[in-house]
Amino acid sequence: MYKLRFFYLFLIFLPVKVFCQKNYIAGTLPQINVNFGVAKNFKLNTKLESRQIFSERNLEELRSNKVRYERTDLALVLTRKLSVNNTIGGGYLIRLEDHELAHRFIQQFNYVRNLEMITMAHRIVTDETFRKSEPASYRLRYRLGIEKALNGRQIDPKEMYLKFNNEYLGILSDRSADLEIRGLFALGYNATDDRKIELGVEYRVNEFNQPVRAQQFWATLGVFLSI
Amino acid sequence: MVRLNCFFLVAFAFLHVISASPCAAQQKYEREYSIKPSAVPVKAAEFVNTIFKGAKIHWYGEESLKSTTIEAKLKSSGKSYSIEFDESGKIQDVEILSSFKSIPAKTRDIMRENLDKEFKKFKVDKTQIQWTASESALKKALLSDSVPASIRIRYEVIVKATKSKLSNYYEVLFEDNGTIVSIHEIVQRNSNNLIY
Repeated sequence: MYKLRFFYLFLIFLPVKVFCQKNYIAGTLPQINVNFGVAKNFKLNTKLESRQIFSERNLEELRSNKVRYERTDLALVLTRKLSVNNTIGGGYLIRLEDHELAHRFIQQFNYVRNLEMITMAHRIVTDETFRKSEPASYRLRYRLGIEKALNGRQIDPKEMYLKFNNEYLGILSDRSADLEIRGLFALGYNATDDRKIELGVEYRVNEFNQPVRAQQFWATLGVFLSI
Repeated sequence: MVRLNCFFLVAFAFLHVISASPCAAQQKYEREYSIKPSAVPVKAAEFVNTIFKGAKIHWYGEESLKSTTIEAKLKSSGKSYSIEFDESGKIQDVEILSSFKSIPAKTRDIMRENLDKEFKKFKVDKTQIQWTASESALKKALLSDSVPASIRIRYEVIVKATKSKLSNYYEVLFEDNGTIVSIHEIVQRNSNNLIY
């Protein structure tokens, strides 16, 4: 249970850390993922995700604790199983933000391996985002994901687990390059192998090319269903 | 704004309705969990503790439709052991993590030939030597680190192999002469939450 104690301590001290920052946003990031088997070895993932901001501060501005809705994403990714460990996929995301739509094309490759005590996943994604008011943005992403059962070696139905994600994003937009680093720590419940729910905290930092980095703190809720 | 948000929600729901197709899920009732040393059958705990003094032992229970088994996992003298017991604490077998190369060359060649017949291609991922015998014979073998004739040796090998088009992991059990006893496909867990 010491793992859970660490998780609770982390949740208690996180707000203290958040409100000391000069350039940040903090809020909630709920998402629902639904997967369908569309043909042999093919799966369609649909994801609906939105962001609500509860606290924010930009440089030279006072902190604002007004709750505001920021954006909603709807993504469709079709993946094909290449082998027992590998999948390849491509998809499209449409985003609604500030009364404007953004369009993103996604290409991804995954390697997932069940080890003795943990499951490890590597994900490589490239995506291209287009919107009317801003230059196109191109990203190369790598994510390492690890999950571990809280009881025993494998995550069985009606069992809880811990998940950790660490992602690095190289961003190119308007001839300017930036890096974003993300870290997620979540507590999950595997109701059945096809129904999971995860509650966690995610930290993101970017604008490494600026004097002050932009930071994001999110309380995440993820629902994963397979039909 | 509200209209566009509604559009996203309706689109999401609509996609699910049109895409949903009945899909037979493979259900296998098997549950594995940690056990506190105090909850382990006395007979099993005694067997392990008398042989592996001072070793850190992890105890697991495994429930399937057929039975419940208790497993002790530990490392001792550089070797990794899995010792399986039934619910009453009666020993079932001892498995020792090994390498495919450590199997006698003649047996290994027969195993390869048999795997070639079963699969288009394969790669050995994990090898365990399995000992089955009476409690006293296993105790003697573990304490002396030698294998008396009363012990039945088998090899449990995990292979990443291709049968038709797609590769999968299989657990293949061999006799000590290299003939196949059984092949079980290892069902992979759903990892959508790590992919998307």
